[in-house]
Amino acid sequence: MTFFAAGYIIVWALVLLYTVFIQQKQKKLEQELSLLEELVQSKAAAGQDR
Amino acid sequence: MKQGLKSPVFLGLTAIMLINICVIVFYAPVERTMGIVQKVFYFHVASAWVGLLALTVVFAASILYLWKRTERANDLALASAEIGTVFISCTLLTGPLWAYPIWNTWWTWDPRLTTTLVLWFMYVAYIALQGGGAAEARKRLAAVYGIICFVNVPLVFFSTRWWRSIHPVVVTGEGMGLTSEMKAAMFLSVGVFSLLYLHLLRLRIKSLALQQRVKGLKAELFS
Amino acid sequence: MGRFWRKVFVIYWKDLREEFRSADHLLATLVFGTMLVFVISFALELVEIGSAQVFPAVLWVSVFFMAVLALQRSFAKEQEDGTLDALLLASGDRSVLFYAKFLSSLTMLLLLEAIVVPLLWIFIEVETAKVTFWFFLAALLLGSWGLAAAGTLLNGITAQLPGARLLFPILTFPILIPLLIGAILCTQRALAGEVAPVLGWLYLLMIFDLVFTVLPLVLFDYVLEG
Repeated sequence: MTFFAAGYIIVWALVLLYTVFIQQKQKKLEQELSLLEELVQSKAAAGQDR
Repeated sequence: MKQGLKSPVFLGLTAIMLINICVIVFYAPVERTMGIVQKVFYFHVASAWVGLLALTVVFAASILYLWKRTERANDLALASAEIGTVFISCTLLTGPLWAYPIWNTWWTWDPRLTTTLVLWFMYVAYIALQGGGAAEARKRLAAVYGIICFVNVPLVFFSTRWWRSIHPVVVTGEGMGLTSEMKAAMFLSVGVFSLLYLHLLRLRIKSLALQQRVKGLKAELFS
Repeated sequence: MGRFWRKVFVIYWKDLREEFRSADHLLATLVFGTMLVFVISFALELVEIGSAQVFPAVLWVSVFFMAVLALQRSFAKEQEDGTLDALLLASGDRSVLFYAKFLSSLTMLLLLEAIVVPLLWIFIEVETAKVTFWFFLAALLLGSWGLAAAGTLLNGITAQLPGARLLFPILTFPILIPLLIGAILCTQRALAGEVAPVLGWLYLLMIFDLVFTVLPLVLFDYVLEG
C-alpha cells in the first residue's frame, strides 16, 4: 500500500513541480511585459512633449 | 494564470483525472499475486507512453524546424522534450516502487529499464543543448540532435534486448495476464495522460511564445 | 565521386599533418589514456578483482573517455582558429568535411589504442592462449569506427557553441550506448575464444557504424550551416 501511494504521489509531485516551473516563468514574463509596457508609454509621452 | 484555474479545459482535465484515479482504485481488480502494488502499473505505463510520444513529437518538430525554420516548431520541440523528461522521470521513479516489493530489487538491467534510462539521459542532453541562449544556432543544432536521438532509440532498445536474450534473464518482465478491467483502466490512464501531455504542451508553448515576444520588444526598445 | 574522395583525402591529410606537427594534444590524450588504464586497473587490483573478466569493460570505458578527449578538438580547433569557413569554402561540400574529420579522428583513435590497449593487456594479465585475435581486432576497429563517426557528428554540433565544452560528452554518451554494449560483448567473447554465438554482435556494431556514417550525409549540412 505504501509503495502504491508513493508511486502516485511521485507522479503528482513531478507534474506539479513542472506546472509550478511554468508558472514561475510566466510570472516573470508578465512582470517584464508590464515593465516594457510602462517603458513604451513613457517613451511615447516623452515623444509628445517634444 | 489565475484565469487558467477556472478555464473549462483545466476543470475538464481535473475531472477526468479524478475519474481515472477512481477507476484505478475501485474498478480495476487487485492483482492476485502482486496485490495492490500492481496498481502503480497504470501510471507507470501511461507516463512511459507519454515519454515515447513526446520524443516522437520532438523528432517531428525537429524535422519541421529544419525544414521551415519557424519559431513555433522549435517551441514545440523544446516544450515536448521538457514534458517528456517529466514523464520519463515518473516512469523511472515509479518503476522501482513497483519492482521492489515484487522482484525484491530496485533496479534490474532489463531492456525496457535500460532504454528508459538512456532515453532520460538523451532528453536531459537535449534540454542542455537548447538551454540558456536562444540563439538561432542552438535551435538548429538541437533539432539535429533531436533527430539523432530518435534514430538512436531503436538501436538502444534492440541492443539491450538482444543482450538480455543471450544472457539468462534473471527476472522475466511482464508475464502477467491482464483482465479486461485492467486493460480498460490502463487504456483510460494512457488516454488521460496523453490529454495531460497535450494540455501542458499548450501551456508551455504559449509561455515560450510570450518569451519570444518579450525578447523582441526588448530588442526593439533598446536598439 | 572521385573528386569527392580526393577532397576528403586532402583535408584528412592536412588534419593529420597538423596534429603531428604540434603533437601536444595527441600526447596529452595519450598520457591521459595511459593514466586512465593504470588508475582503473590499479583500483580493481586493490579490491582484488583485477582479473581478465573485467578487461572488456575497462578497455571500452577507457577508450570512451580517451575518444571524448581526442575528438573534443576535431571541429573546435577549426572554430577557434577561424579556419572552418575557409575549409568550407575550399571543400564546397559540407559532407566532405565530415568524412575527412571522421577519418582523421579514426586514425588518431586507432593510433592511441595501439599503445593503450597492449598496456592494459599487460596490466590485467589476459590469458593469450584462448583469444581469437581477428575477432578482437574486428571489434576494436568497428567500435572505434562508430566512436569516431558519432563523435565527429556530435562534435560538429558542440563546436559551434563556444563555452559549451562539457556538452560534448553529455550529448555523446547516451548515443553511444548500443556501441558500448556491442563492443564489450564482442571483446569478451573474443577473449574467451567463443566467437560463433556473438557474430550477431559484430553485425550490431556494423549497423551502428553504418547508421552514423550515412546519417551525416543528410544531417551534416544543417550542422555546419551559417
